[in-house]
Amino acid sequence: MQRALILIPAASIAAFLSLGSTAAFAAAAAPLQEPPQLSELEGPQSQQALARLQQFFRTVPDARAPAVLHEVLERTTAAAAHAVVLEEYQRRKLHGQGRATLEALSREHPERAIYAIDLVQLAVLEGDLDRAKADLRSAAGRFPHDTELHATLGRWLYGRQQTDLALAELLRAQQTGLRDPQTNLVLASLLARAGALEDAIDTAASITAAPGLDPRLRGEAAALAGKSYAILRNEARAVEFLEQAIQHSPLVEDYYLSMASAHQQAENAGAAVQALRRGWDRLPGAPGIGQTLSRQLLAAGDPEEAVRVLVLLTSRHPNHGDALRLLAQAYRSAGDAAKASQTWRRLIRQQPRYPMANIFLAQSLAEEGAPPGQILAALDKAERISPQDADLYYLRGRIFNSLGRHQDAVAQLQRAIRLQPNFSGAYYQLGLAYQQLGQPDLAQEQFRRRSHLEEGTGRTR
Amino acid sequence: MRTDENSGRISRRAWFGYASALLLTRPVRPQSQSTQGTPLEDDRVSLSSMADVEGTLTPVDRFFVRSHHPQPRLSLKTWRLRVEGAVANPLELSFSDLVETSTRSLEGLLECAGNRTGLVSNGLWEGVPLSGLIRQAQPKEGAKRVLLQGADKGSLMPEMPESPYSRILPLEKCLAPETLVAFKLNGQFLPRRNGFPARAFIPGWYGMDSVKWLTRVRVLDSFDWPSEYYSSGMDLLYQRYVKFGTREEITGRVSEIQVNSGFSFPPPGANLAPGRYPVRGFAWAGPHRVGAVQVSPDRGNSWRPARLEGESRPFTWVRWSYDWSAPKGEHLLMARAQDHRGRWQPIRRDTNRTDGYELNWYPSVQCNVL
Repeated sequence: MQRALILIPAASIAAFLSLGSTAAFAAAAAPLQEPPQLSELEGPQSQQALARLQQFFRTVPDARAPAVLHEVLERTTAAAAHAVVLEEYQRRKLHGQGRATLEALSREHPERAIYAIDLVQLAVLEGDLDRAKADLRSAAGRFPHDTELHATLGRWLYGRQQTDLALAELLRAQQTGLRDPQTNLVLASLLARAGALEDAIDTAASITAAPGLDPRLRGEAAALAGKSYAILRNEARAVEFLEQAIQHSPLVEDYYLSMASAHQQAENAGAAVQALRRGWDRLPGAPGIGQTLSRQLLAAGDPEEAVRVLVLLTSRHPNHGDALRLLAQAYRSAGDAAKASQTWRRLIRQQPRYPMANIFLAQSLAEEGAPPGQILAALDKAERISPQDADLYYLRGRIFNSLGRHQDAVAQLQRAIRLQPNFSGAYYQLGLAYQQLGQPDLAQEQFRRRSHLEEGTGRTR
Repeated sequence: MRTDENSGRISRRAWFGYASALLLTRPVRPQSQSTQGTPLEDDRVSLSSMADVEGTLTPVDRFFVRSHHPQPRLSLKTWRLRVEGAVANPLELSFSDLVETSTRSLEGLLECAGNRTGLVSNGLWEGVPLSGLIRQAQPKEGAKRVLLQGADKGSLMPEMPESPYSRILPLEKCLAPETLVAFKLNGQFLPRRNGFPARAFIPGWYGMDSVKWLTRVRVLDSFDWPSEYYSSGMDLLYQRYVKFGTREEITGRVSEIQVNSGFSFPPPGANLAPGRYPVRGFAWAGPHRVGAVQVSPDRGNSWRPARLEGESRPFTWVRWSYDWSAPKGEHLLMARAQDHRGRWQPIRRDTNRTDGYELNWYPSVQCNVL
């Protein structure tokens, strides 16, 4: 592909405009803004030059726009200038005109790959993906070995969220010798997303092995290889690559989480906790690590340590609802119902519409031995927010049972069962209520249903 | 299973007649979405549950799998699809070529010919119409059949040579506008276990013709009888075997999906509290529309109309529901569907059939109301 800026004698659009090099320009009547020199478009001030080019286009009258845009496309191969021209075609809804111009230029200058790129971009901008695909295949046919063309298209399509087409183009680039590590990393991630995991690993591993690269890039590549190995259930290789990722970029939370996940997948909970602790030491207060680590600690029967982690996490992120929920659960597991209730209240203050919080608070208050009035008040609030929640009627039934209000308990538990017919715990409590009300047959019926439900495949509680 | 009377060995035909049923009794383990590691034998079968379907599409990671051979490892760098044989202009397409070709999307059901339960799923397929590729290759006059070949290889029975999985289809079906070389399912690239990077999708026909891991489309003229296909025994698979007295004959090729239905709720063996339940399921009729579905709450003694929850279309399934007041007791619910031509599912299997395909008699589900 011809990469260099094509030199235009006498050098600027302004020059050819004023010289009247085309009929369109010769007839300029309205005052035009000063366009940039073409040489500026690739110089150190190219951003400003492009902005001026854009402004200049805005002043060109509709009737003369096609000729002006044609002129720029023909006289420069600077990709950024072409992008500005394509945007202008888009802005003026001159897609057909643009296509005709580009096809004509492509015929006149068959060696210039830039027009093949432009045609694809124009079709995508227009939203005509079938046309874009045809242009892509045509470009591949005309420039089969042009790595840079396919890489450029791949990167541009990726930026436009056309990931399938980006993958297709980057694969073409790779097959013709793509070297650029950043682009290879994009390709590796697209390959992984497409499910071509071995291809993703090969591509990513080649980046990690390349000398002299930015460690962050190498870290990303190693992490991608590691995660792909984890999906392939090769946890040993996954851990190896994720360790490399951590070495390259020790402050990326995701790498520790992925490492822990790989260990967890290999059913090595100890190593998972170790990886998370390591991450926690490097990134104290990191929300993802904090939550995962505390869950692991809770599962491992260490709620006290989970509380320590979550106290730090919620002090750093006081509005983190999930962390507060976990902290309340951790307090509960640690046998500190009072602090659990306190944490639920804190969460309710932050998220008053969170439907389950009042139910959890009521549960916690019940465990704490709080007065029934407090528990029932929490359940009343829950009912106002979420009146279809079977749990709250179940809990209220339990409280009424404990208060000896068995007739009230029956009404609540029947409501829970109406909402959730397979709620085995509700049948049990209903059985207890009937027992206390001196109705043994009805009580036995409920106990029998509960035991059937718990044996069956339906939803059981 | 019958044996060859002289040798005592299993006859070739008998082997194929029962092969499908044997495979289905293999232990099945749940599959994760991506099972792209070392091919394992039980990667070849994974069941799908209608209960997992919200709307009409089976989630990709719950799609059924039924393969004859282990999953091949294919690289996008080297994978190619060849369209060749009796054509004037053979093609070789890379994955990039395929992705950069105009595609068509189609909601379609895939059902294993040996499905009784769990081997049917429904998805939104995207791919390149096979007709376009074949026409671009310019089939020669006289070409009537097409061999579709996958990259998966193996022996169909002991002591047979290894050969790639392949199917021969009429050219006419390959040129049907709905027939695709599919590379996406529900908006995602195909998982390896479902044929990554590309497979045939033959809407309205049983799944064995929707060849996975497709690498070759060979147009056959009337003189071309691919020896590998016939020596491997592929030709004996997926045929209707019918007993006539002591004789057994092939009466035709299994192809078009027969009218069928299934339950998504309640699950088999469910224990339910007394109350009203929406009994649910799906019905389908291959290339035809479903006309009606009926449910029997009493072991087939009486039948009530079920409601179709949407318009029935060819190639896909339609959800149905029936509002059931569940009284106490043990129940056997049954369903039956009718296609728009008036053909009902059969009440039972034709006892003269000796193959393991087209098992579309009434489905049933047992449950207890406590």
